[in-house]
Amino acid sequence: MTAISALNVQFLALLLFCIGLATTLTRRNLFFILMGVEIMLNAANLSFVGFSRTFAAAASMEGLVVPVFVIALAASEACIGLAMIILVFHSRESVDSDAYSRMKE
Amino acid sequence: MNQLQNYLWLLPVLPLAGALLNGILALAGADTDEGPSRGLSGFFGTVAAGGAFVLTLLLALSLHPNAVFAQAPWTWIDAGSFKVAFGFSFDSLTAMMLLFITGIGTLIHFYSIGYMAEDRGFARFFAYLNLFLASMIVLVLGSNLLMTFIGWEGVGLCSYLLIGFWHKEEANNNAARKAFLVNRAGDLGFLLGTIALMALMGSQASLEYSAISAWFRDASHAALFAAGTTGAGLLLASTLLIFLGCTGKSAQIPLLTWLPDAMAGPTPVSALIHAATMVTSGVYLLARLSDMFVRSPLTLSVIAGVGIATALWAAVAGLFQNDIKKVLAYSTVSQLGYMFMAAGVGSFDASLFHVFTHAFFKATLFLGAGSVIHAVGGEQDMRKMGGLWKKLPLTFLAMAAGWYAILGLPLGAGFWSKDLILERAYGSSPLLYGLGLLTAVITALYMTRLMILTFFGKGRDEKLTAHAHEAPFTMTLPVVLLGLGALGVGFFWAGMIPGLDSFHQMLSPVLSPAQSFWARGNEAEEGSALLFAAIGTLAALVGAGIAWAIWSKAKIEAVGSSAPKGFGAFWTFFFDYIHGIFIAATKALAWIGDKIVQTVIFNGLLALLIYAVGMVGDAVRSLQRSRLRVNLGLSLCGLVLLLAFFLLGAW
Amino acid sequence: MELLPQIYFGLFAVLALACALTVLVARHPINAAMALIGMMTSLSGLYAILHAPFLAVLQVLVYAGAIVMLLVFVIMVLNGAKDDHTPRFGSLGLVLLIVPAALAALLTRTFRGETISNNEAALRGTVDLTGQQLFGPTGYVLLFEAVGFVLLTALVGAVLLAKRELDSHKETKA
Repeated sequence: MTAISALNVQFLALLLFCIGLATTLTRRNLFFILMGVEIMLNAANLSFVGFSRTFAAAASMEGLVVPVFVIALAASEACIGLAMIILVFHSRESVDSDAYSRMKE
Repeated sequence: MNQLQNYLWLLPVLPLAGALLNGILALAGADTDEGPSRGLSGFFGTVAAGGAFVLTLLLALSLHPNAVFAQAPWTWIDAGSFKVAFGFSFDSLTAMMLLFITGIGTLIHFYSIGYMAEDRGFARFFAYLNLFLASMIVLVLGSNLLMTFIGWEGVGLCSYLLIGFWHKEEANNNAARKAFLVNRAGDLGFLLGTIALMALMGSQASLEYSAISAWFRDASHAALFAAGTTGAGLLLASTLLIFLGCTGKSAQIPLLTWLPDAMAGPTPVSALIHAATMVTSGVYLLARLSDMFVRSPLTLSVIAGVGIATALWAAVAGLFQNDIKKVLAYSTVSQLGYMFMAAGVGSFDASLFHVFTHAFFKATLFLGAGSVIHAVGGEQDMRKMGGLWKKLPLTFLAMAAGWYAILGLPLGAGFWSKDLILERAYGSSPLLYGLGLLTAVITALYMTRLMILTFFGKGRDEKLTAHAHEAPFTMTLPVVLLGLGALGVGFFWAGMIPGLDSFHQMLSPVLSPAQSFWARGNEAEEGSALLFAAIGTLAALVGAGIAWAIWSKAKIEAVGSSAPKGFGAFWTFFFDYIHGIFIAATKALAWIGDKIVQTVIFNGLLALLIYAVGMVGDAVRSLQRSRLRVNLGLSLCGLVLLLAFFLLGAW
Repeated sequence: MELLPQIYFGLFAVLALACALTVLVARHPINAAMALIGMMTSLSGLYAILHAPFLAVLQVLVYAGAIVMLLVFVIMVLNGAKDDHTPRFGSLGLVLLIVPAALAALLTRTFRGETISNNEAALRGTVDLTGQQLFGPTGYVLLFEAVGFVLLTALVGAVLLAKRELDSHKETKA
């Protein structure tokens, strides 16, 4: 049980999170932006699980329940996000995020 | 006695009802050409005033000299330990004041029926006149400083309304405004003085006169305002400020410039307000707060000094006037100066006696002058009059009585009151006495000049004097009655005749505590009353003689306007010039405030602020981008920065 | 020292990182989706060796199985793979790389020197215990129900958002 260093798990989660963030920010394709968000959520889950190992008894179980909810919410978020991509795709026929830059400055 | 006490509230309400009725009549007749019914309006107005007089008489007759009727219908201010009641109190001082106020007031109301008969604004005049009477009654009847202040402001308002009664002429409006504003300056002194008094009285602060007098008479409080303490400073400030208020209302130096201008109003107004009643409010207030003032010797010296200076200055100014009403106006200022001088030497009862007699003979003179003006068709320049004694015999006799009284010739009303004042002044300082005597001479001078120019010699303007006729009954009756009063009321306190001092007895319970306190500290020199009387009469005769010598044979040319010129103008408008300096200074300050403070500083700061906010707004706005990734990136950048702040900053 | 868990950990870690990097630099969305599945599966493995078996299975079933499948489906519907016009990064992308880099640096610095140690008494996340947490006396029942509502809303919302377009074939100024 003590084999895996808790700190290492956090570092991994951090790295995954930053890669996900980088994907979201730097890619222009709308799908990749969504995928980046999924990576970030997974990294957060990993961090939760990693920390739950550092607690005792009931507290450690609480740390394992949150990822369940996160997954559920990630599902709904992906669902809506994809529906919106479909929606905007029909107005511009493009999945380029820069094409959707009509927000007020 | 208890029964009548409950009707104190009726005293101000009766004239107030008259004012309301006349107001309604004025409004009702607003569309017609000749205006409201003279009979109806005059009747209600005079009856309202007369009713107040009758009630006052009843109350006064049933009042024991030591007693006080009081009625406080409700509590006005109730803030913890500070309570002010909406209260009336009727002691012998109030009784004396109200008797002549309502009495002379009723006579003048009656006179006005005849005088203002041709005027379109008849009902409006009576409404204002009744309102004035109501305010004056509240002023005198009030049981505390706040009630007096209501009356104070009320008479100021009515003075404004009545001076500017013929408001179609701009000059009248200017005069009315001037009167109001100069009074207002005095009112500031009144209020500040009251506040200082409250500060002095500390935890026992009360606006009630009874409480104030009791506080000052209490010997244990003397240490609070002994020399050198802050209390002494507060007392000095309070008394001086309240005296400033009195100078405003009673036209003393420095706030006297409004009274001569107030002659722009109808003559009954001048008689009632600016001779007999309103201008005496200052003297009344001084007497009410006598216990306070006698404990501030410096203030009393100031009051005496201001009084005699005003008396002398105004007497000289009277010599330069050609308008009959202006002469009487300066005469009023001068006589008020006498009253203040008397108060300044601690003789409040002598001061009030002169108030009493002055009301009678000055009202006579004013109403008589009104009859004269009425007779010559509105002309007020004395240089154009002359030889009127044949045409207006009754008026002449009444005015002669007034002249006799004001000169202080033997047995007239002024004889008893003025000589009493001069006697008391001598007791305090021979210098005051000397100046007072000099003023008496000059008084005789200008009053005799007035009588000569108006009534004697040949009529200088034929057109005017040809049609002159005696005034109608409604006008001559009051004038004659008041003339008789001018001769007779002096006997209420005929000093040299023992037993004839009911006036003195009446006021003694109210004023003697303060006066005896003063007398203990200031030993007065006694002189022979007969000697004083003789010297006084001599002075008057000297003045009259000089006047006769100069003006009975002189050639008077009515050139140009009646306003004084040359040195006369300089002397007359001296205080106007001084006020002008203050006004100019204020205007300069206002200009600085507007151009520099307002424009440069405020607007400049505002522009700076606007610019700064705009810049910040633009800067923040630039963070909102239209490109999705940029926007997202900037948000997350902010998040990272926030994290950095918390994680790194929490070392 | 038990070496096997460490080896497994290293293996899964490397796999996850590689897949994530692939997602970052992939050209085609389908390739990226495949890499995403790979990452999620390796994470599932990580959960397993971190004593959270229920979560591991859940991850594969829901995340890798359903969500990514949905993603792939939509990519295919919109012919996303055919899109050659969209460049991968753009010059802005390099600038924006600063943000994740800064975050990584910041948190690394914060983690350095911290000591977190695994607790011996930590429970193993079985179905039984997880169920007790969710529905038990001190459980997250209300939250569970709420999430149910959220999913319902998402369902309805997605249908509404996408349906209009497919129905009317009109251009909507969304």
